[in-house]
Formats: sequence, structure tokens, C-alpha cells
Amino acid sequence: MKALLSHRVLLLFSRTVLGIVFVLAGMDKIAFPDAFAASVEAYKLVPYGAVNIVALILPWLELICGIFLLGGEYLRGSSAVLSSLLVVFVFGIMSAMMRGLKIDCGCFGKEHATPVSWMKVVEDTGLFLLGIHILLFSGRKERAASSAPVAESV
Amino acid sequence: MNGRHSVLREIAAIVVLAVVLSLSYNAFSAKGLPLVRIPPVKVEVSDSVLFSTVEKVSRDTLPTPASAKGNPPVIAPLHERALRNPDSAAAAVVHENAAKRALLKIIKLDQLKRLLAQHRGVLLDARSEEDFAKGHIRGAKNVFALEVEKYFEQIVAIPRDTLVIIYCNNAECHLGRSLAEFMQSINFSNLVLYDDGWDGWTAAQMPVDTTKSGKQP
Repeated sequence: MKALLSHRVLLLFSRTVLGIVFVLAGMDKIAFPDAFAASVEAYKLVPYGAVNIVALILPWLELICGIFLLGGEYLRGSSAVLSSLLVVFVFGIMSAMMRGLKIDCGCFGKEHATPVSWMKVVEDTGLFLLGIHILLFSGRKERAASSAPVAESV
Repeated sequence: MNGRHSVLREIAAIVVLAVVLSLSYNAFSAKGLPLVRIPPVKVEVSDSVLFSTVEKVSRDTLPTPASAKGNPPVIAPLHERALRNPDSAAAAVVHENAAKRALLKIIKLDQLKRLLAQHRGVLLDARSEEDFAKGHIRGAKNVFALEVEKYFEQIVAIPRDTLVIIYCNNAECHLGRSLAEFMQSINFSNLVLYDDGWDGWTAAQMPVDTTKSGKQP
């Protein structure tokens, strides 16, 4: 099982999916900071004054981690950050659902509609698992190789 | 142990990079946000203030891009100059405007009706093109707040002291505020927000227009 999960191709799959999702998500939020700040405000999880700072930094975290995942560098750091963000997102969505918050005023059009739904929770959980996969299983071969030299074809 | 430390180091590097890039980008972006969010202060405009100024431009004269081509873009370079030289006089204007940004002037339905009846001011719908096409207040022009670049030429052609009335869906909608803040930052001094928006207008069953789009849903 471990060998399967450590396999390059499977890791590449996780990295690619997670990387592309977050590069696109990050870019979209960076392009429309007002709309994203309004979303962050609507979830009512962050103190009002801090909403803008969060809305500014978070998309760049997403973009940078996505790029690193696609590029193959800082894999464990990036996947750790993204998995943590996904935990926050899932928590935020469920909190919004339970409190009956009105997140989407319907103003932003279809492309920017903020999804507060179980579907989104499922999606984010799936992405979270991909992140954990990368976090736990990338870099294993290098660490194993340093302690016990094994000839492996890469 | 080594493994965990290097993960933490990577995370720290990523966070530092994100902070530096986000704040730099925000400082130079035309759509930059203030670092501390200021809650908008909504002030109702009294009739005497609203109807006292003499209008120079009626809402029918919102120029099309073709007619706006002859006008040199005056305000955009001002804003860019201000951002480049924080100590210049232009910067002082931009920063003063930023403080004014938190103040939103609100008008009510009857005030809007009177303004429209008197053909005063320019009426802008801040919602998406799709929503605008489905139905908008009669006489409104569409300026989707999330895509102001598309309408920039038309906007800068409007004289800065014109009364501009902005609306979107309702009082919670952010698009109206967003468009108003943008126009304030390029020196529009006479902006009001019809806060009840589309919802308020249709609830009162006021006349609406739709535009036929080429695509069928």
C-alpha cells in the first residue's frame, strides 16, 4: 500500500489536481479582491477590521502553493498549507450553513457565486485528502534513500 | 525530526512570500484594498441637499466609447502618479479620497423617482450584464462593478461633479459600494447610492426595462 501511495505517478496526479485547482482559485480571488473581501466578511469568522488582510493574503497563499505543487518544489510545505486552508474552508462552510448565514447575495454572477453547500464540503474534503497524500508520501523515497542506499530507477 | 523541521521551514517561507507578494501587489493594484477594513457609513441625503445643485449633465448624455475617444484620459494618470510619488500633491488628493470612501450617501425610492422625473443625474446599474439584461431600472446604464475596466472610457468621460446614482440588488449587495468607491477614487464628488436597489424598485412595481440578448437561456 505504501509503495502504491508513494508512487510517482499517483503523487503527480495529486500534485497536478491540487496545483491547478489552487492556482486558478488564487488567481480569481486576486483579480477580484473586492468580491472576495465581501465573501470573507459574509462568513463572519474573521474580525471585521482584519477581513481585508485575510482577503489579500489568502489568495496568494493558494497561488504560491499551487505553483509549488505543479513545479515540484516545497511539496510538503505547500500541501501542509493547502490542507490547513481546506480544513478552515470546510469549517467555514459548515459554520455558515449551521448559522444560516447569507453568503451569496447573488450579485456576482455565476462565475463568482460563493458556494455554501454539502457538495462543496465533499469537494474540499477530497482536495484535503490529496493534500495529505502529498504531505505524507512525497519525499519518502529521498528520506529512505539517505538512510539505506538502494539503487532505484527514477 | 529533520523532516518536521524542514516542513515548518517550507511553510514559513511560503507564508513570508505570500505576505510580501500580496501586500506589494495590493499597493500597486488599481483595485487595491485598504489594509484595515472600514465599515461603510451610510448617510441619508436630505431632499434639500439632493435637489439644490444645478445639473450640468442629464442622464441621457452618458457618452458612448466612440464619442469619448477625443477626450484625453485625465484622472487615470493622476492616480498612477499619486501611487508612484507618495509625497506629491496628487497623492494627497488620492489619500483624502480614501478617507471619504467610507461615507456612502443613500437615497430612498421617492427621491430616486423625483430625480428620474426631473432627468437629473446619471443612473448606473452595478450588477452583472446578465442581471442587467434580465431587468433594470428604466434609464439605467450598466457598469458591472467587478469589471470597471470595460467601462472605464465611458466613466471618465462623465464630468466629475455630475450627480451619479448607483444601485445594485439590495442593501446587502457589495457591488454598489464597490462601484461607488472606485468612482470616488477617480474624483467623482457627487455620488449617491439607491440602497434598496433592484429589489426595492421591483417591490414597488416601478417601470423596468429589459434588453434582449442574443443568447437564449
